[in-house]
Amino acid sequence: MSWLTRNRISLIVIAVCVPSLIGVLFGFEVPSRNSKSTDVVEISVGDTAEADGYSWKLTESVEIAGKGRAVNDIPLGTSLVAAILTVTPVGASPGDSTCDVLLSSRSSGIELEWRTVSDVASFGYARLADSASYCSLDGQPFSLEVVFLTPSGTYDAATVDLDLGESDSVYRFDLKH
Amino acid sequence: MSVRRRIQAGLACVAMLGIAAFAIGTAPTSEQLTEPFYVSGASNEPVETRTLTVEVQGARLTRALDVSERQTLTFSLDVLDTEQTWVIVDAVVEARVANISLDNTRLRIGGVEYRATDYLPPPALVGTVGDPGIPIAGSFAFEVPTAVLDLDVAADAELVLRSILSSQLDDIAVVAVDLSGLSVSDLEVIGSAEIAESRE
Repeated sequence: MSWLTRNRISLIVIAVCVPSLIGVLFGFEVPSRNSKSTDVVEISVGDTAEADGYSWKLTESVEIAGKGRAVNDIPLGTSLVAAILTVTPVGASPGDSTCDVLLSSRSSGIELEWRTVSDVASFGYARLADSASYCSLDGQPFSLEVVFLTPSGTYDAATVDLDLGESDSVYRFDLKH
Repeated sequence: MSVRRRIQAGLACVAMLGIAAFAIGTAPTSEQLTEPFYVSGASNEPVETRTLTVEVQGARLTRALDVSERQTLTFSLDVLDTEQTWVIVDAVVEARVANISLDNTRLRIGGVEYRATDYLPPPALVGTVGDPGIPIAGSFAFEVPTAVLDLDVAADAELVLRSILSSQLDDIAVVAVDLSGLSVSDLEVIGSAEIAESRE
């Protein structure tokens, strides 16, 4: 009996296991802590998304560059980003719930997120009189005005991300340019 | 099997046992496998980890902290005094990926770690710090035995910033802080942490 014949099973095991181990070690991308398993629905400027019994449209967005606390209350090196989402109930039974809105950017190679600013007055900003600062869905149409403080230059590649608790999707709105 | 083959097989076994003993003897422990990556730096220079950038701008010693800016229903003290010494470390911290919590910040002196007080006027660095790219300037305060500050190890104190409680396989910033030769004031005012304006 030749050496190959005697060791054929061992050789087969090595031939299967070694490539498999290499494949496991280098072939799979390790998910980051911030990675989400949700689907992302991208919405261009002017387009409308329908979700959770409502239609969502980004109707306005603006960047206000920081000129220093002493000039416009916005620190140098930062910008205030504001956006208005127009929310309209559609269908027979729009639900009662809330939603989360974040500003995000992937231009640096990793996903960065900014939370909404609650005390916008401290940055010299005033919301429109008929705008809501909190996303509360109660079957009525409303305008949601969200404000973020970001580093300068973030606006150019940022999106507004809408996360509805009931949905597995994140709705990503492009900003106006 | 011939005698020669037996000797060869025996030597091979001994060699493999030696290799196995070497592998076991030099293998990292389970703690070492998951220990954090310490990113060390000096004061007055940025120290960058995966989650944050910190620049320590100096340290002060005092017998009492004026925290009168802090007004809450459950906390009405204007001054935090101590029979020991407060070490105040002023720093600018910037989150790099998402907002971070620095509740577990420590001051390490001679191998002993002192926890940062959370009785400072909010928003404070001990707490949730900013969003990515927004530098926040503020202070950490540590209550430290006065006798420790007279030891030589005070010159080699370290600010240890853990952005999360469990930092296995994650970065921890360690910044050298020289506490030797500092005078002790009677009172230092600690305000809220604020956005640090760039020098553009």
